[in-house]
Amino acid sequence: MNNQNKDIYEEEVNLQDIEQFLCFGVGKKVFAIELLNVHEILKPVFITRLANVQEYIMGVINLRGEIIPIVDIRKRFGLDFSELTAFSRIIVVVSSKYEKKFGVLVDEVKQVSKIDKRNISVTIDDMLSDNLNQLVKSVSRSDGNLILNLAVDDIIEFAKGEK
Amino acid sequence: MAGILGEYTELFLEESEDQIEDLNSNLLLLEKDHANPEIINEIFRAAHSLKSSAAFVGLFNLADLSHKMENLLQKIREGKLEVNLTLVNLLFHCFDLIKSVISAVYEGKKIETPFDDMISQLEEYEKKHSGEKTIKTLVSGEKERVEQKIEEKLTPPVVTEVNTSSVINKSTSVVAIADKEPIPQLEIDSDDLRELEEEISGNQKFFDIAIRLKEDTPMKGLRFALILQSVKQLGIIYKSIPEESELESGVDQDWISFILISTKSEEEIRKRAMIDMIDTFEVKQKEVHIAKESVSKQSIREEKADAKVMLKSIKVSSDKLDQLMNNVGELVITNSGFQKIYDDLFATLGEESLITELKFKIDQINRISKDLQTGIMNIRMVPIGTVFSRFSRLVRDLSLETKKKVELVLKGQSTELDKKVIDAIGEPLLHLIRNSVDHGLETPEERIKLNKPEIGIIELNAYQGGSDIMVEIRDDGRGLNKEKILSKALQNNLVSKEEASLLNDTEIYQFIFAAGFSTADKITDISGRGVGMNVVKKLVDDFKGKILISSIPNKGSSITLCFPQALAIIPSILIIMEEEVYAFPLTDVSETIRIHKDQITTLEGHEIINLRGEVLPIYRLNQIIELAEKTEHPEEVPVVIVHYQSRKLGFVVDDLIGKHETVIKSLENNFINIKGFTGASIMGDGTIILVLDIPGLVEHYAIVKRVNDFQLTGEKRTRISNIASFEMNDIQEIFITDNSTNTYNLKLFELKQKEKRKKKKEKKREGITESTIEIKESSEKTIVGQSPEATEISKENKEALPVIKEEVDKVDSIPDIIDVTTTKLEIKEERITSVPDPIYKPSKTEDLHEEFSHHIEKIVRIEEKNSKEKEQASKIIQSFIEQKNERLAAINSVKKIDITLSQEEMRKLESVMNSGMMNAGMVLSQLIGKEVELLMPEMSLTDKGTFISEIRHDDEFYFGLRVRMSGKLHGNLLMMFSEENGKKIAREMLKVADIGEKKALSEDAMSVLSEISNIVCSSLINSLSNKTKEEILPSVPELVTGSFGEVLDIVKPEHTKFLVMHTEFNYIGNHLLGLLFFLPDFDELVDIVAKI
Repeated sequence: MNNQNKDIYEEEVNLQDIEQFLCFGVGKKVFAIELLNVHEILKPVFITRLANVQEYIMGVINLRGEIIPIVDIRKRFGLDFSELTAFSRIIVVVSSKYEKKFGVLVDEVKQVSKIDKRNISVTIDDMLSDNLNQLVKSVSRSDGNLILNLAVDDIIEFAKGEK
Repeated sequence: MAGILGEYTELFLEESEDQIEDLNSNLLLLEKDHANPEIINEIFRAAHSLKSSAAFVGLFNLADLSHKMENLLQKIREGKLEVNLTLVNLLFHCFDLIKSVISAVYEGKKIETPFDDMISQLEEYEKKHSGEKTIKTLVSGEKERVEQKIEEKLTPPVVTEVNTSSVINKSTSVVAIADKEPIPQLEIDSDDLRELEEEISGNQKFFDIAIRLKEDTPMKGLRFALILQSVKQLGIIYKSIPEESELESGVDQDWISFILISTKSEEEIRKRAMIDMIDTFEVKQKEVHIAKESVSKQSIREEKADAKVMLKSIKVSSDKLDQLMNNVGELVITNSGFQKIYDDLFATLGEESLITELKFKIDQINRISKDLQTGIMNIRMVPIGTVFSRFSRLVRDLSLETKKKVELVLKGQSTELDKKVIDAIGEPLLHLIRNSVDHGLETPEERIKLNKPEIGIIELNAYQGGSDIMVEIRDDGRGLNKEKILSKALQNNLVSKEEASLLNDTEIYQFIFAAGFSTADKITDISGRGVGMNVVKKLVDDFKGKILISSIPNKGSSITLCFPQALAIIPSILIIMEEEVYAFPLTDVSETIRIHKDQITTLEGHEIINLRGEVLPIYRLNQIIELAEKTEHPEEVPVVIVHYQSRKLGFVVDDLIGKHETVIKSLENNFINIKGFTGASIMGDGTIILVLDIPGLVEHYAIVKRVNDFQLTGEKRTRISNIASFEMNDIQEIFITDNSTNTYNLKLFELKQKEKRKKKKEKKREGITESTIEIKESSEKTIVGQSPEATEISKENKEALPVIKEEVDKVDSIPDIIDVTTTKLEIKEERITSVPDPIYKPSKTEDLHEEFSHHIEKIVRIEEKNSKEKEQASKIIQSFIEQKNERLAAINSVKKIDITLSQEEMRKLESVMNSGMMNAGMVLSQLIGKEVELLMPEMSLTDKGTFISEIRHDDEFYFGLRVRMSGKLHGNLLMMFSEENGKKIAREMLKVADIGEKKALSEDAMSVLSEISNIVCSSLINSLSNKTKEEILPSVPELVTGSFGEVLDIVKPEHTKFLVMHTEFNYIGNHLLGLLFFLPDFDELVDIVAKI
């Protein structure tokens, strides 16, 4: 009884130190986006191709009357194009900096993790490859795994989206 | 959104802007019409409310200024100041100052420096001018004036006027009974007047009646009451002094005054009211009427003011409207989802009252959302008058500045335009008007020399032309100087000398829109920098509009801006590229044509075509939008011809789909603007269509041409996208470029198909179990039905026939099930036994049901154990089929024809037909040099209704070929091919992919089908004719198309039965099916068959 109360108490204290992330898999790596930036998760839908845009922009979809672009996150990382599987999902995220919504095609959506802020560390420049370095904001450790947290505002280069 | 002045900032801005507009326009009017008190009042009112609202938000400098202005205006109203140019200019300056303060507030700045200069100017003017005039007026009636002034100071203007009129009344009454104490005037305040006005209707009149009795009259109160009573019969007494109730209790005054509303004349009232002892009797209709009139005007104006307030209260930000618009769009899309559900329901369940009701509701929602859409569109529409009236002031100032005499004529102020255009159109119009005054119109001297009226006219007109709204600026000045423009264009290198000689007027005029282009020799304050027209052009382009220029030397010029009526919705032409649909804005498109590939020639690396003598460059859209070059080129390609600047050019597209009203959504909302696309549009079914932007495409093409480093490939694949809103080409295989998005979509399609199949399989599995049970049930019935009962029932009740037939159909399929191997049966049994009892719903009672299931189990077990019993079962079914045939024959015999063909006769006929078919097969083989087998595996005798119900795909499209028979046997032979099969056959025979559009056949394909029918039918008839030694002649086949039923209806078999023959074309391993109907005159057939 006493113990339980203590646990709850501890959790309350920790709330301030906890950040929530939506984790998803791309290849064998696990990435995450701050939960606050996640709008919704969609099953893959038909994408209307856009010409004259960067390669990682797959096109646009109709999200209840709103037209939002879809990013092939693999391509964005400088890898090959994503291959659609039964586990593929589109994560719709909101960039608060640009006030824009867009979708990210990922291989698999894993779970929402609560991570202690103490376990999140800012990336050092040489730690990752160039392409990733640009996009990864921080790295968090959870159960011995490394999760790469993406900078939502940088996924689409809104400033220079045109080819 | 609180602004710099707190939460009321927005309100202040809105109001003050209106007030400034009012002030400006009214002051202009006043300048023309000095004496009109109404205008002065309007100005006064606007200035007054400006003062109070400025003070309210803390702009005290503004309030002070307005206050001084008010003082000045008051003097004008009192007639103490004369309206002259200096005064008007002074006031205009004030307005400009106020405006600058307001616009500063817009930008978030608060100007607090007091306008001491202006105020002192105003004061000075007031002192200087009013002084003399005041003295003049003082002579005539100092006292009155002072009184009035006090009155006016204390009361707002509306009431003042009323009071003035009553003062006049007062004075007249004073004159009338000069020697006596005057009868006090009834006090009518503005509320009373408004009430009075409401009560007055038709030809009713107002009478202010004052009656004085002789001083020594007894019972005055009673007499007054009497007067009122009798007068009441003539109309309504609105107000009286003393009140009627007071009269009854007795009064001690010798007069009464009241207001009567009546239709009667003054005379009648006099007569009616006349009693003895009356000293004076005054009926004043006119005076009160005057008062009433001015009051009513006043109140109308007040109403107007009210209306204005109302208008203000519905000011809504356009963002909110956009949001609403978006929601309505969603509604439409969601509803089309309902439509889909309805279609599915209709397909599976057929016409049921509930489904029809659903359809009705869907249509209703459709209608309502359309209305909503147009409604919201209408909200966005604002009359252009608000913009036009602004320019009166501008023209006045300009004419003073340039010393030209100008009159501005405004027309079509009530024409409505989208608010966005209204907000943006002000500046371009300003430039155009400036140009007209500065360049267009001549000086008065010049005009007189040219025999033109001294005053130049600039006309602003707005009107609707087609689906566009035209805003026209016309002047009667010297017109555009073509030579000057052209030489300037050459000077600025806008055009080469060679090209210049080819340009027509319109093309020359277009140069004036180029940035930095000006023909003015000197730059004035007003124009000449070459910016203005460029601004105009940009705005019009932004709104997808057009500019038309016409000019006649020395007669004047006119510039017309055309805007699409509704901005949010633009009509467009839809085209298809591979599987992607794009829209060309219709305003850009001049025409669409089809050109043969030989018509395209290459000039210096550019492809060009010759369109009616005009040479146009053409662009391949696929190159611009990153689609691969096709591996095979069609003979003819559709080309969309568009306007680009003043030229035309063409885009080669894959196919044209049609016209569409497109609601454009910006891509920038969630992404960025992409060169070549204006935006995107969402179709009714939710798919996205990209709207092309011509200038962007052309620009991009130049880049693509230069770079051209990426190689795109593509291949033929199955079509996957299907935009429900359009009828797409029927071809299933199309060329698709290899790119990531297409790969993704293809994969998605495959995944979805797989899922669908899986679901279908599951469903089917369930379906099979159920149908097996049902079949067992019906076979059970048959066993029971071996007693004549069942047959009798069906004979008696024809309506029950379809039900039985359905069962029969199912039974038909039983042999398959029974024929399956024992292992399958085992599985089946397992499934049946594993299904829990409640699933056997079809049976009527639980008991019966159990009996059935037991029976089924028994049958299954028996079948499993004993193959002999299995044979028995099949025999039972066989007998059932025979019974069915007998029943059918029996029922058919009820209809007119009671002759039937016996089994033997049928067999004879079949053999004759088969030999005919074999002949036909041989002829066909010889004809195309390949082995063709024609088989007739089945022949049955049936009637039309049954047959159509048996053909499940009733809505499928059929090609029917009818061959008439004449001679000894009349009637028709009809060959039917479903669209799919017919086309397949034609494709096989012709070895050509294109065999015609949906629901149509190319001529070649048609002749193929018709030749086949000709050969088949002729062979059949020949064979029959040879066998019977009777002359039967075939006609040439005629093509009949439509659904199955439609085709049969056209052929209209009367007095006949259907001899249905399923023919099978066995053509190099392909089994292609056609149907052959033998529809002879039945009586003749019976005779003929007898001769076989």
